[in-house]
Amino acid sequence: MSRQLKQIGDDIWKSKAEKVNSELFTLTYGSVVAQLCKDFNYDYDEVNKELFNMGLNIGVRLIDEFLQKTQLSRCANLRDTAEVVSKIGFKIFLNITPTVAHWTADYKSFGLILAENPLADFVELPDDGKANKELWYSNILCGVLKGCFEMVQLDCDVSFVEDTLRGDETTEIRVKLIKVLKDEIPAGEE
Amino acid sequence: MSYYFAIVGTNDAPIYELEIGTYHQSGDGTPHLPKEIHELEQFIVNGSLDILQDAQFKSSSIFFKNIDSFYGYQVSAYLTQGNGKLLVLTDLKNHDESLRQFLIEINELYVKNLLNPFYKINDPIRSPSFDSRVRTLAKRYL
Amino acid sequence: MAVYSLYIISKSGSLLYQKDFNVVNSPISKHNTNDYLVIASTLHGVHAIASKLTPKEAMGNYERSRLPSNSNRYGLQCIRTDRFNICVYQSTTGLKIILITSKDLSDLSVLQLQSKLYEYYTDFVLKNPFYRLEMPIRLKLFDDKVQSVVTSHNV
Repeated sequence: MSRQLKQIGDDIWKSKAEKVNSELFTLTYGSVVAQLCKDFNYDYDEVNKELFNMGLNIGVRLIDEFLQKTQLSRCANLRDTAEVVSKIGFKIFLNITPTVAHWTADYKSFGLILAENPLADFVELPDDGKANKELWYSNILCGVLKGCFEMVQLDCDVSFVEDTLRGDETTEIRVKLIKVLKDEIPAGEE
Repeated sequence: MSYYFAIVGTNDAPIYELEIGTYHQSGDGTPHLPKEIHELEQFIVNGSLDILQDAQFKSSSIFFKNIDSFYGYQVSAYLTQGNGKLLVLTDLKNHDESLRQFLIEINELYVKNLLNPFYKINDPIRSPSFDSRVRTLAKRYL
Repeated sequence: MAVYSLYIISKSGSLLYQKDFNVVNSPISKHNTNDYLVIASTLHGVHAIASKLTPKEAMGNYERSRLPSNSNRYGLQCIRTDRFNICVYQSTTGLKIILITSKDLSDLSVLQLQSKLYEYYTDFVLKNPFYRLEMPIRLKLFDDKVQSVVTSHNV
């Protein structure tokens, strides 16, 4: 299953995904974040929220693109979902494959560990003493994931727990399934 | 042998400086500039900017070896493509290719630093990682 | 072979997009906007009812191998009349793409067309930053694309 997913991800990356210069992408995102910081007067909580909302807006649209490109159907459980997100989702949109790790015993929550983060090339957080503790620079990713999950009726909490930009060992996004919104699954599916 | 290295922004205000000694010939990297020079180094380097400005439009090169001197101390300059200036003051009379190599690599670092979204052009460079990378380069080349 | 009409219905059952295509001898008569809304919500409702009525064993009929992005497994899939077919496609997110076609258009080419239309929807509707979800689609670019892909079928 897992190898098959990797294959699908690789194929789509090669044949269907539109590519863009990575520096242009990184710099665009960077200036958005820097401008937000300025606009919110370096209130990083607000910046995090704003990035999250921007991501959410992307996520609720991106999921259809994802499903259309991959031709995948609904996952049987969260373990499959995690694999799909890492091996296909991240692969076709960012060309990275985060490691799925740190499952809780009830398999309701997992971590995505990003060995590299294309959003954060060249970035150093401002040295104002609080950015290192408060700003989640790539928080837009959490929003995107949240938005995607929401559209396939998975109510999840998505947040960063570690970021190498802050001096942490790894960059990790934590996904916690609150519940599957069974009533909202479109009629006609199992 | 000792060096004083400064980056001067496009508006001629200094944005980074470092005083460092050689690591070659069993040097340990501590600078040994005499006190009078130490106090004047910023002025000396800034003084060479005028000469550099004259020279930069007469020549197509971006590296200017020994463009200025002050009582036996030599100033060399490297122009970045965006008109930033990398300046080195040294007591070494006849330095070789390695100084140029050093400045080329610093230029690369400087450009990477510009790509940081939180850095505004001509702001002082306070990043500790930039500083440590410059020191590593100094160790290799100077 | 001809496609007479296209309906795109959102997850919540509201009509996002409707288009009748100019075909000679189309069995579909022109309606006013209100009629389109009624047709859309009726189809949405019937689809949901059908999914309740379908026995789970019927799942075997669904061909997994073919375009699995069509997540419409238990719901209404097709209404066949003497003069036209109504085919329902549903994405995992609940978007319905419904085509009214001539009898001689094969199921497979209908599916392919629907899947193409879904692609256009993701590209030209969802990726338009000014489009708000669940709102009627009034986008020239999307319109043109739909027109051209459907016209290529109407030969």
